Amino acid sequence: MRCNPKRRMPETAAPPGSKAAGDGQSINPLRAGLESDRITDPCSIVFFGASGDLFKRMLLPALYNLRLNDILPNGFAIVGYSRTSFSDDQFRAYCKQSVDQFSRSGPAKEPLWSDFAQRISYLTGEFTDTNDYAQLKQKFEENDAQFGTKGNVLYYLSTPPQVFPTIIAQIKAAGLDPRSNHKGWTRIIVEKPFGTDLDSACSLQAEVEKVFDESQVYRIDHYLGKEPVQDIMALRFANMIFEPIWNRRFIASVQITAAETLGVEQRGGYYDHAGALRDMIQNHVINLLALVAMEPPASSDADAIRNEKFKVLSAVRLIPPDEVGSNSARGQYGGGVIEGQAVSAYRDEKDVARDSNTETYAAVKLFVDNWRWAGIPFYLRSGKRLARKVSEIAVRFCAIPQRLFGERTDEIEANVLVMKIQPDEGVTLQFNAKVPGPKNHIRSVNMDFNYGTGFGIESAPAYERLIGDAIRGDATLFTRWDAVQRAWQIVMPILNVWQNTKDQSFPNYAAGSQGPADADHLPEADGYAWRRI
Amino acid sequence: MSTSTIDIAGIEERLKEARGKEGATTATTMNLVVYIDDRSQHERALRRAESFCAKYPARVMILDATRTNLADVNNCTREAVDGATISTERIELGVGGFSPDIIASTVNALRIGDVPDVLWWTSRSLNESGVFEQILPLMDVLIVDSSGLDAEENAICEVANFAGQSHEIFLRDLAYMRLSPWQDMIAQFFDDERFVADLESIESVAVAAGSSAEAFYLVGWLASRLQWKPCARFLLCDRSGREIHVKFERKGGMRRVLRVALATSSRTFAAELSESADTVCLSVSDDGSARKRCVPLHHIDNLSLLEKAFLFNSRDDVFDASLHTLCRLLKL
Repeated sequence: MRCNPKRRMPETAAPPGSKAAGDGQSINPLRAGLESDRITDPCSIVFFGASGDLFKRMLLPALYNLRLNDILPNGFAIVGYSRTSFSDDQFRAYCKQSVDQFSRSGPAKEPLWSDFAQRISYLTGEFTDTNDYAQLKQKFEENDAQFGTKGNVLYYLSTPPQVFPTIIAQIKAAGLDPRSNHKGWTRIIVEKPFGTDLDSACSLQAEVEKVFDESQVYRIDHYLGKEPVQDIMALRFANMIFEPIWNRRFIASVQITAAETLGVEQRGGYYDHAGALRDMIQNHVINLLALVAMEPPASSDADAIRNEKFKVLSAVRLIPPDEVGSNSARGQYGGGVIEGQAVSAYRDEKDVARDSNTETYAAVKLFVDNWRWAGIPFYLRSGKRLARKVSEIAVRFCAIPQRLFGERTDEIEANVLVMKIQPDEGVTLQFNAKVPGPKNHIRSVNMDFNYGTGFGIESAPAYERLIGDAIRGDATLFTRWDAVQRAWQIVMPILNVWQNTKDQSFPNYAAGSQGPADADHLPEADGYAWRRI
Repeated sequence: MSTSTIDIAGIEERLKEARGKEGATTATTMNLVVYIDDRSQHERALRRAESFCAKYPARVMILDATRTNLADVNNCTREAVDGATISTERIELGVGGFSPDIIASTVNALRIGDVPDVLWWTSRSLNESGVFEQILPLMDVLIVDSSGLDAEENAICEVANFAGQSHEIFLRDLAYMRLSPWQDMIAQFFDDERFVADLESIESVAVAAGSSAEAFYLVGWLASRLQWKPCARFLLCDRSGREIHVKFERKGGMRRVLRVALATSSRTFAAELSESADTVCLSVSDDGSARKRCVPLHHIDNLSLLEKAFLFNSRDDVFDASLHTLCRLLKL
């Protein structure tokens, strides 16, 4: 779903120098009818935590590719800010290394790299020292003069989350906040996680609100920038065939799965304080639920879409504490074998407590109490070290009301529509067909659509899309505070119970398996089963 | 001219065999019909069709009027970036000697239903053989390339005549589409408010390119946008009657623009291809000083142009206006 389609100017040529209605600015007649993906608003982009891994592996390569594809505005400048000491030239060399190593387009290319690099600068500073932030003010003025950034500023918080409140407060203290910026706009991108529970998220939001209006805050969930996730809305709202049956009369259940084969890798320290419910369900998976269950928005406008997402999340029934056991399941992986390789148990991973009670698998059954979905279970699950990497939404339709075909031994399967997010990207419709021959045997067959074969176009990585959208001011793919808050409200009853009770069965699933057997009770209670991972 | 028929049943049988042997087609995005009647265009057209098919699952019909008695069928499968298999069915038919109505009915019979039909016409003339007229009603998109032909001026005017008639088909000329990054780069100069007024005092336009069609189109586009009128061959006049001199320089590789410069009495706006050929450096020079920056040059390879021709399914009014203005300039 594109909210801001390619800029396409009116095709009637205006005489040179004529004025645009309203803004008094001269129209460029050569722009008429030209299509361009280039962002028009110039800006300075400040990365807090620019010496970190996220900046090096994802953010800088994303910016470089935006430039390579001529999407960045003509007037842009990049400012790195971190405690690590770098000169501008050292930082540019660090950035070049990052592009050479991690860019999807391969090593940096000349003369474009030199042009790009001259727009990169670096400031060494403490996150807690207001005086250090004062350097930014001067840098913005230099960028305005040298690169025409017109006072527009985009901050990107790519630091550990515990520093977010400090940086936001310091932005205000140094007079770098939106209200002090009289020349252009000021926006902020906040990396996930937004809080570690409802209380901490509310505290962080309180700090954010002191400095930024909601319209200036872009809470990033890179999952939402993935092309197949955006395609969920296109599938639902660009096709007439699905909407009439997209409700409780025709749909029996929905399963949302985000399974990984990876363990915690180098993130043991973080993950052991987070767990699967916080790390995946509260943000990625609940966002998928919102997209699949929301009502059609009135327009493709960011707020129209985000209003609908919030509305549907508001209708999710909160699980009472005494029903957490019957509506959720948790697990932690032990040792096992994945893709022929022996892998160690979670508690043996680096920086993980040997008696850790952190779940590496979480499954939840939710109900959406509105007219469209009343009584339909949504099964959500996410886990590490599972049999296969797969993210998908499987919509299972109701059984046929009367059996006409099929021999007595034939199972007549329900139709299933699967929206595949990763690693396969596409849509599969499972339906029943007659097996050729004199008998009336019925078998389930699949109709597959794969985005790779259908379009042959490589999708841009999520960060490219999201950074570009934030510069454009398109917040559609970013999570609004009301939705973040509601997502925390949904998971908190489960989180509270899990935090307060040690699961003695941990580790309760082998790495490389389908997850804990205990999770099977969620769909089985309704007569269903988990789809095989 | 032969009135015998092409063995469609035999072709379909071989398509079925090829599918069984090399994997089923899982999605089809279009029927692509490529018409070739010039041996000098033959290899190039085949290569382009090949690279297009490597990306899109399609049924490709190559109608080769330079050959007879050829009916080659194959199903090529390739692995996409995400590991999925892209399957393309290619039918190469030697249609030399067959009457236009037989060729058209063969195309009709071999089309996959309910997907767009794209005709890529590589012949130097639209109307010479009569085949064009017969196939056209079956098609949704017509792709031509006025560039690289012996008489590019004539080719452009023939395209202009065709565009002037009311056909229910989207017309694309690759020679014009090749210019889109250049149009954007030239427009970029005048996105800067300081320079917009300079558009009213341009005195000359110079284009260096490896073939004429691109250079012609660029001037046609500028003239249509800035309301310049042709007042003599290669001479334009602006709204106040002031003359704008047009200079074409044939330089560099075929179908490549090397440099575009717009000059007023005091400034020159120049866009010039860098040595690496994937970047264009833009400069504004006045009073001895020059500001320069470089921008990427993208999507002018043949595959990208064909993709764009296929994916952009609406009429391009700017192209129509540019073509119309250009044809008037060339006819003077």
